[in-house]
Amino acid sequence: MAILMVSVCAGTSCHLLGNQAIVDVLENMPPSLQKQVKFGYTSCLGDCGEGPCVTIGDKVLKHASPERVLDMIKEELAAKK
Amino acid sequence: MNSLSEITVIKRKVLKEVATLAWADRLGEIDALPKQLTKEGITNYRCCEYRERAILVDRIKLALGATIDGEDEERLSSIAEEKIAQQETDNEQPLISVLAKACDRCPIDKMVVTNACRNCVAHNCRNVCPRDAITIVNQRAYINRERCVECGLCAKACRFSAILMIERPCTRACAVGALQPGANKITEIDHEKCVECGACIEACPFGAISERSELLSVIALLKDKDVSTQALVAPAVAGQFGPMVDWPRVVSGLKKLGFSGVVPVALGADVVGKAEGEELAERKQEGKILFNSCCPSFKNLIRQKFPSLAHAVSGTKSPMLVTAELVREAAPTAKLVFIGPCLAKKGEAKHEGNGLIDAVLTFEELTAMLVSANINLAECEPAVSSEGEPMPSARGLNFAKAGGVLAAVTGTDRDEETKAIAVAGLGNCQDLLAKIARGTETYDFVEGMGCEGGCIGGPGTLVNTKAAVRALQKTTEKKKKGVA
Ligand code: SF4
Ligand code: FES
Repeated sequence: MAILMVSVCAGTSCHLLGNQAIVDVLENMPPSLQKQVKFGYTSCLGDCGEGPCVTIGDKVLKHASPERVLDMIKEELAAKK
Repeated sequence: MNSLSEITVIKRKVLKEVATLAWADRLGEIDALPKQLTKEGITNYRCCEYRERAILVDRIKLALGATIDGEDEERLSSIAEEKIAQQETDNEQPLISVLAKACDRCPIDKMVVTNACRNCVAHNCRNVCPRDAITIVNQRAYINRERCVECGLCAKACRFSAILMIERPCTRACAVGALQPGANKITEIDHEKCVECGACIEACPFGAISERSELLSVIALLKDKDVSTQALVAPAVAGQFGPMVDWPRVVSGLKKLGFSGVVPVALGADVVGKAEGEELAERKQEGKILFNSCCPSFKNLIRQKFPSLAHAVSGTKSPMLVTAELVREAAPTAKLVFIGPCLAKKGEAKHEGNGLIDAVLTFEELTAMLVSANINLAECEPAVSSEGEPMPSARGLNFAKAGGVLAAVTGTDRDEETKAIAVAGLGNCQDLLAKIARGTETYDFVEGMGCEGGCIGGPGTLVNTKAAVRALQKTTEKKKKGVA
């Protein structure tokens, strides 16, 4: 099974705009997702004004919210299958 | 930490925009800011754009360091002008205010009978009510407000859970009872009672309680190349700027921002830990109790509600003030800015600071300033510490979390006989103080912290307590292993 890479921007701007909420859901993903997703951090994705930014696979999600991140992870996983 | 609601983010955006204008000397354009922000999408949680903007105007006033309690219709640009001319922050004004336009006037009645009431035969609610406040009207329990003392017994007695005990989030959060619904049911703060803990700010889901900022005065200091401004950073800094930012990066980012020096307040905490340890030994011999002096909300609580215990508070100054004295010795003309998780430090700086501290910022405000100056801490080159630079110990750093002060003061070779306790959260502090005042419990040392979890649970933080504790542990473990 291919692992989906997720990377949360931990730059100061995205931090101010609330990346913590996203980190929280990623840390507490249901086990079924945890097995298929690996997440880490990047220092800036270059869209600071539109944060929080997250890359999911090769897509960049701007104005990310926990819900949108989880939805997109599920979409990407479904598309891979 | 402020739960990351949309409202927290709005507050941060406002701080960032105000800081951006201040750096660029463009505060004259600030009147356009509310409209700009609603255009950028801050419209989704209020009934109309006009109310939204009116609330934003109040938020901007607070960010400028102005008050919102008066009914004045002054333009934002003139307020900004006054504030710049004023230089010093006006600390006689209340720090924490209710944004009346944002207050949703949540229901005041505490006990509410819901549709789930089946008018059962048992009427446990009626039987249990000590005040005979419950009658049956229209096939349903009815609570007479005149009689009800809001004890909640009926809610517990009902087998259908048909009676709810609800309370406004703000009044529930305020352990000292400083919040009351006032005129038009809008919450009002009794500033005589308020200990400036900030719990209500985090509790209100409408973001209707907020604090004044000292952003403008700090930006003015940093822009003035003739003054040296030193940042005194609280031990709770660990992890505050996210997983990629360690202390050396914080140092280099703050220097980029314009600070000429960055000093960890944990250095002062080390001094305080030792001094209070000695005080403890002395007081124990005299059979007297000792309280920590580092938490301003705890001290405010004692001053206001337990004056008979005021003598117990340690005579040692807080780590903030001790560090300020250290810095002052080395740099007599420098301006000092304390940066931490705490709102009540603003009051402490004013009342006990002897003019040593020129401004107090929260981590949240600092981050807004960094972003407005395009500084990304995660990409800053870590600062290299110079030879012989004093480094705080793990004990000093641990002042940031509940129990850390107790550990430092009582020491590792804690005397078996020492009876010490640590409490966190203003309500818990209050309960314990009441017992001590009554004489039902006795201790040699009490560590009281106004915030749950200690300083790292403060209202000016950016990450949740769990993440902060993790980061703090990582730093102190490195210390113990001897790596900087
Ligand atoms: S004491 Fe704390 S919770 Fe109560 S009004 Fe003051 S800041 Fe708010
Ligand atoms: S800080 Fe996240 S995109 Fe730049």
